[in-house]
Amino acid sequence: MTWRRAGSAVTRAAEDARASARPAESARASARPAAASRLRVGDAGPTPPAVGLTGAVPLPPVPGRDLLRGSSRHFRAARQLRWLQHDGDGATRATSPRSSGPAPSGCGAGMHGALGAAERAWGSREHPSPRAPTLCSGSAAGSRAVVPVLSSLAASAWRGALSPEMAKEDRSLVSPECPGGPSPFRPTGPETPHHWPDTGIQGGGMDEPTMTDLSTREEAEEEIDFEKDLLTVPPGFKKGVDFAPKSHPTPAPGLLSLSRLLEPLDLGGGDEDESEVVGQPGGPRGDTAPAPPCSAPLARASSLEDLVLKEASVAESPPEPPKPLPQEQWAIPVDVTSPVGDFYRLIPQPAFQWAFEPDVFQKQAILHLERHDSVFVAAHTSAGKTVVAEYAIALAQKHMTRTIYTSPIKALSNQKFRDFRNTFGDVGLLTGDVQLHPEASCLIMTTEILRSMLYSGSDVIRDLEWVIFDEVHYINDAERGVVWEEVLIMLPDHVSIILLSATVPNALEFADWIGRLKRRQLYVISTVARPVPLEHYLFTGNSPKTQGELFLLLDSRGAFHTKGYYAAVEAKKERTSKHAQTFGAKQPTHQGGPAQDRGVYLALLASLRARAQLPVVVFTFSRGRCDEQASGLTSLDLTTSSEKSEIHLFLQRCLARLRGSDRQLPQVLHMAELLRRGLGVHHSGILPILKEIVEMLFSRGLVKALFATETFAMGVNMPARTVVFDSMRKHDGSAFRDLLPGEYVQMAGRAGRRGLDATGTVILLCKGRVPEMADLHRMMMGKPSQLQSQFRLTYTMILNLLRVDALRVEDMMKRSFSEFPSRKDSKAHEQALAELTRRLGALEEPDVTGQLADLPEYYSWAEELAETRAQIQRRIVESVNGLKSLSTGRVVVVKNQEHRNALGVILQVSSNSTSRVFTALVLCDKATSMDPQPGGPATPDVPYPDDLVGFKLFLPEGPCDHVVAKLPPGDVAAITTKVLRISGERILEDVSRRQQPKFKKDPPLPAVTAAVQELLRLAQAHPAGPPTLDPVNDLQLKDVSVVEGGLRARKLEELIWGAQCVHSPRFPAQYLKLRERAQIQKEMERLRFLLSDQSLLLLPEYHQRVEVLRTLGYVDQAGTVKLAGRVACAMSSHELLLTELMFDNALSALRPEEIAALLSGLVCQSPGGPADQLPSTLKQGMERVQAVAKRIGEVQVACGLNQTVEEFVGELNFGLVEVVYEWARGMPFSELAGLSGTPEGLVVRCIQRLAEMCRSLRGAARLVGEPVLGAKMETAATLLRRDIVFAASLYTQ
Amino acid sequence: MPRFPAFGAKMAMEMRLPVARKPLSESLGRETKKHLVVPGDTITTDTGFMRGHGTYMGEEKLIASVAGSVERVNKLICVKALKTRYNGEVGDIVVGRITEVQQKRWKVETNSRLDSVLLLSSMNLPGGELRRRSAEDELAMRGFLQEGDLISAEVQAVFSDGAVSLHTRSLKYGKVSPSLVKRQKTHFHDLPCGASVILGNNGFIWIYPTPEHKEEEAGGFTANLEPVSLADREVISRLRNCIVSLVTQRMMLYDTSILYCYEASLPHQIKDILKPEIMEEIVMETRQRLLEQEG
Repeated sequence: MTWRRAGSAVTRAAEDARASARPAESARASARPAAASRLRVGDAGPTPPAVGLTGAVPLPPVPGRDLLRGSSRHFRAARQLRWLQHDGDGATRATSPRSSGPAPSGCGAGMHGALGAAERAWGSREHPSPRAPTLCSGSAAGSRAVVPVLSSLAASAWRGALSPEMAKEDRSLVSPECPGGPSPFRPTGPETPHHWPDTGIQGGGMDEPTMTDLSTREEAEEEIDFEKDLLTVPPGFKKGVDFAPKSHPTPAPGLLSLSRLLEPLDLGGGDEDESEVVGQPGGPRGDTAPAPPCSAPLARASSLEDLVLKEASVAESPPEPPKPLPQEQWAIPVDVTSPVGDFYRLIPQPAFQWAFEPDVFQKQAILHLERHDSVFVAAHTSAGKTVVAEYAIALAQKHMTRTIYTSPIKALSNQKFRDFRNTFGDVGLLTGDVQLHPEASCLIMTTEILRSMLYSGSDVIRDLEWVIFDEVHYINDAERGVVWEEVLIMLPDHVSIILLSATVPNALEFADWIGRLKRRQLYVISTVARPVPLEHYLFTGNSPKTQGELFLLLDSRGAFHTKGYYAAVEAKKERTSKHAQTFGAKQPTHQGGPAQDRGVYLALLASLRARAQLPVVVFTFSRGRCDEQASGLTSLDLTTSSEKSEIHLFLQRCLARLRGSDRQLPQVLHMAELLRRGLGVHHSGILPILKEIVEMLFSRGLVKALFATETFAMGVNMPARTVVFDSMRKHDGSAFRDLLPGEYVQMAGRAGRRGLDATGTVILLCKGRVPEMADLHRMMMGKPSQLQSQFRLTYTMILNLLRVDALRVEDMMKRSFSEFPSRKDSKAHEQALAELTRRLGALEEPDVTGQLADLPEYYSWAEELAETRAQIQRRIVESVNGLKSLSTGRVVVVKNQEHRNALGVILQVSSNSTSRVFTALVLCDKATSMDPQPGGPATPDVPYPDDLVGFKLFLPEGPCDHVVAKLPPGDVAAITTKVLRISGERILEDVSRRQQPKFKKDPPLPAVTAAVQELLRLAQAHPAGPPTLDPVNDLQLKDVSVVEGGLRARKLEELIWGAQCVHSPRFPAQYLKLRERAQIQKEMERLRFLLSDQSLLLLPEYHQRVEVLRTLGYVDQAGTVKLAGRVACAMSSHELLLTELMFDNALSALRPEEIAALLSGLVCQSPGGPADQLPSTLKQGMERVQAVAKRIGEVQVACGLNQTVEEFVGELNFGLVEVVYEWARGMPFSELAGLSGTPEGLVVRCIQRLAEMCRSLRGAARLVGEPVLGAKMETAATLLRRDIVFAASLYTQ
Repeated sequence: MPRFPAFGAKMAMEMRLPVARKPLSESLGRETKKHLVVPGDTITTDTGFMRGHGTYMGEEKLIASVAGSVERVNKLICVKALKTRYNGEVGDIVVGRITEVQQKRWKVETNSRLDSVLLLSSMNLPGGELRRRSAEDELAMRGFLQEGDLISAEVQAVFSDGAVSLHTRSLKYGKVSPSLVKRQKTHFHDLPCGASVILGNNGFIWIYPTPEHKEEEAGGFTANLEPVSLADREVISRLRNCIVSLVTQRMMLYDTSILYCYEASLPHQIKDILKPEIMEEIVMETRQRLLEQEG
């Protein structure tokens, strides 16, 4: 046996083991060290087979004493390994005596051995150091991955071998265990010298450990945990005892986890570690002996033990279970707590590198990106989600494929465009009004654009590798959320998805949905905490004097300080009382409104400035207040003179793009003035170019205090040192409400600049009184809102899907996130269905011949009767009269599991209206009340007519007893006309008293006996059921369902009486068979329904909408999209109204500017009626538009949609008609401002959207072959697109 | 006029006397209610209408520019030509023939006024869903599709007309007026007679044996060049002749009409189907069955 053979076998073993784990190259590389270490591979390599084939001979293949002496350590290793082999699996049989080298099959055993060793090491964490060598040599047999370790270990063994004492010691240790002496299969002769290295290790005259040293060490080794660390097979035996089989993974996962376990060991190159060994030949021995081999090759692990222990623990509690995952789990959470140590080895050539070291979560994400997995990154604000996006873009560029980055808002798209363009160069931007480099390999677009690309099957999708969805939590947006779902559903399977989102509680659920959708696993990566922790304060100050009144409420560790809260309340109270006492002129609290605000902000900003906590973002929830607050601070100047000049220059440069008069716009001048003082305002009313100027100055740190609305918190990495909340209440379009935790977190997340600040400061102003602590607690500590489906059907979606047959609308609905909870079990349902079908097939057909001919009918009658009665009874119990009748003393018939038509009397009625419970005294058998008899009345299986029709009352056979039962309404089978005069309380008391063992033998009270006697008498008097209260006549239930139910029940009763089958002797048996079948069939039907389209929640609405389209002539009966439908597809919004307007020829006759003005009614969002001074054509046009809208609204109502005509028409908003008209006629923007009170920013947005709409109308006109309208729309769009409204974004320059 | 070639020993010869050609309108029957116009006809003088395709405004009147039937959608009036080149619309299924291989694109003849374009990037290439955009693909373009290959594709955009690609091999294709192809939800039909038909919106029709395995071929574009059995070929020829008869008789083409015609043709030999009398006979039978089915 040569070391070469052994070596090759080891290679094979290594390859076997890591066949799937990672390429074998690295294993091979590391297994190719210089001679010394190679030899040691050979040394350890042959041991498994030698052991394997004997199973009893404990000698390793080492010839002679000399060798023995030298490699006693190896013996131990080998022994260990051998027994581990038994432990791992029964692989001993695999090697035949003739195979002199390790057979490949032995490798697996070796691997198990190594694994077992690793576990052993885990078990013996108290004495790790002596164990380590053993472990390593054991593993070496299985994999070359540990070769470096092994070799250095072996070196240390060699050092030991050269000492006579050591040898003796070793012999004494070894020989008792080797009674067989040299093994017959031991390699002999000329081969043996190959085991000996000819390298100059001997040259290292090393310190010799003393005997005591050694023995203590050996003892320590021997004394290791006896339960876990002993051999499992005694020497000389073929089989042993498996001590802890349960905790060991099964062979298959063992293989897997072993390969993973060994990976990190494979870090160092062979040369490196050899030189380490050779270089330190004389290293101190003793306790530190194993240390050098560990520390050198494993630079990242502090010691071998640590490393092994940790990895072993990973193997034992795997973040990803090694078993094949259950098919239905698509979302896999990724553990981001432990560092990715082997990151640089796994990704030797990253597609992109940063100046900084990526975080763990980023590394994890990148690892998955490299594997082309889809990931969902839910990270805290400013944690660095963009890194993931950047890597994907770089990866796609490397692969020569394409990435699409979608963002919810245009402003964010522009910013990302600039960022990515600076990083990657080859970046394009597609939004509604800009198209830059559409051929680039990374395209930034809004989600809507991506959707239309998917609908039209654009070729951009062909070579798409990644789609990055930024701010996925936008899916919660009521209006636009559906777009995200559509896109996610329609994306082809070859595209990998990257979802970036703020932290959401149901990330897993959402990921599971997408995974199921795409039939691929999605890795969910969440961050644990913000990189820059936040501190939350309350601020109660309002004057320079009180500017220090800042109270810590929530510290950076997330602990809520009630003390701070009470201090704030105190401070506030003190001031109010003081003011109340002094009523001086300097009472800002009484001046109210803006002036008071000013005081607060001056105080706050001064305080923040003093403590160097600027820049600050102040979130205010109305545009007006934002402006007011900023304008109010006239006296404040936060910039230095050099900053002032910088700001001035920047402003000049940006504003130079504007036309002369536009530079003089009041808003521009005002903003410039504010900016020079370091203040800024940012909300939707601001002109887009000004917003961009503010953003850019802010990110350069020149805006010290920014007053913004919530929109600033969306996306855009623009952190500040401090975030201030003007209030914790906002108006959400319908009412004032407290901020939701998600909103609060999103905004507060702007605080804390990574790398600049240790913590971020969040301050909540208490201008009025201090908010309730519970509210604060909920807002700050509450869970952010979940991702929720806002899926709804739109006409565009329906038309686009009807046009192609790739995807049906039903499929789209079925796959939506809203249907996910009911659909995710569909696989299980299918299985259940198959199972039921199988069971049904196995069942015998019931015999329905002869007399039993009407058995099936009988069954259905019985079922129906029971159902009808239950329904009526439910109505009775729900009704007022029914409840009234069910008062104390009423005699009822009780029917449930225990009681079969037993008479009872109601003692008490619970007052809880949602789950009413009647307490009743019920007759029962003496015996059954004690212990229910098997085969007693509890087998009401086969119902005969008299069971079904009347109430064959239960009559106790022996002595009668009673029991108090709590009955839900369903148990009351009938209400009789009888009322007993009893006292419910007394009976209850008596019964409960007799429940106690002490009073068990007491006779019941006379009241109880009397009641029971009376019930018994009643039961005997009416064996077929006592007269019951008629729901219609007695209880005044004139409901249609009740009356009809009653009639039907009576009819059914007649039918049941007439049934023939019950007379047959075979009736019971056949009935049971029939019932079993019927029940299975019913269950199958239910499952089929759940699996069918019919159970879709939105299906009715879908049919209604298709009906609308049919009525309007957009699709025909067969569902083919007609011309009008195709035109509607071309519209970007308001598809029905625009199409109808066009086909009604309502637009062609008008001039372009008039068309634009009219259409503004569709896109305008600011409220307000039309101006009075309008040309008559416009007025007529408006009426016409409204008439068309009304017609569509009426069609919708007629088709059953629940949007009223008024609502539909009310969506039109003609507030900006005049403004748009004048703009289209060429009025400068500066003059427009006088025409309406609408903020400039909103006007701009409206005109931008209008231009988009004009373009889509032009396309539609081309489609129907109407060139005049097309030309007009073209002109309209050109008229609109000019000057400041369409000034190109600063970000795209 | 019948001609008299030399009689071969075993050759059967058919002779037919000239017959007056029946006017088409007779056989069209109930469809004559349509408002038919020829170029220059005034459609309406009402100015409240919008002009669509096939019309123009002249002297306050809406005048037809093509011969065909007038169609109206609300206030929009257009004339659908009876005989026309193909006018592409987004989402149409077309059948076309590759005429040219250019850089990064193919030119496809689709019976429209201009050659259509099939971009390399808008085609599923063999061997993978996600393709790297590389020069090899461009070099290998002729390997994917070369001049003369038949493709069926979907219209993706209509500025200059684009298309998407599909697969399978061609056998025969007929060319009909696009106006006779009924616009439907699907244009791919597997007929129960054992062959499949792609009715291109552009008037090209592709008949091919129904592929046996229908599972999703992820790779797209597979050129199956196995020989087709004689039986299949007979079915295909028969279908082809049926479609030709339907077209001659101006019948709309869609799955049902083709199938009925096929069934009606079964008593006749394939080569006989194209004889005018037989054509008329089977188309008449088809028409009746269709009427029954509708009525």
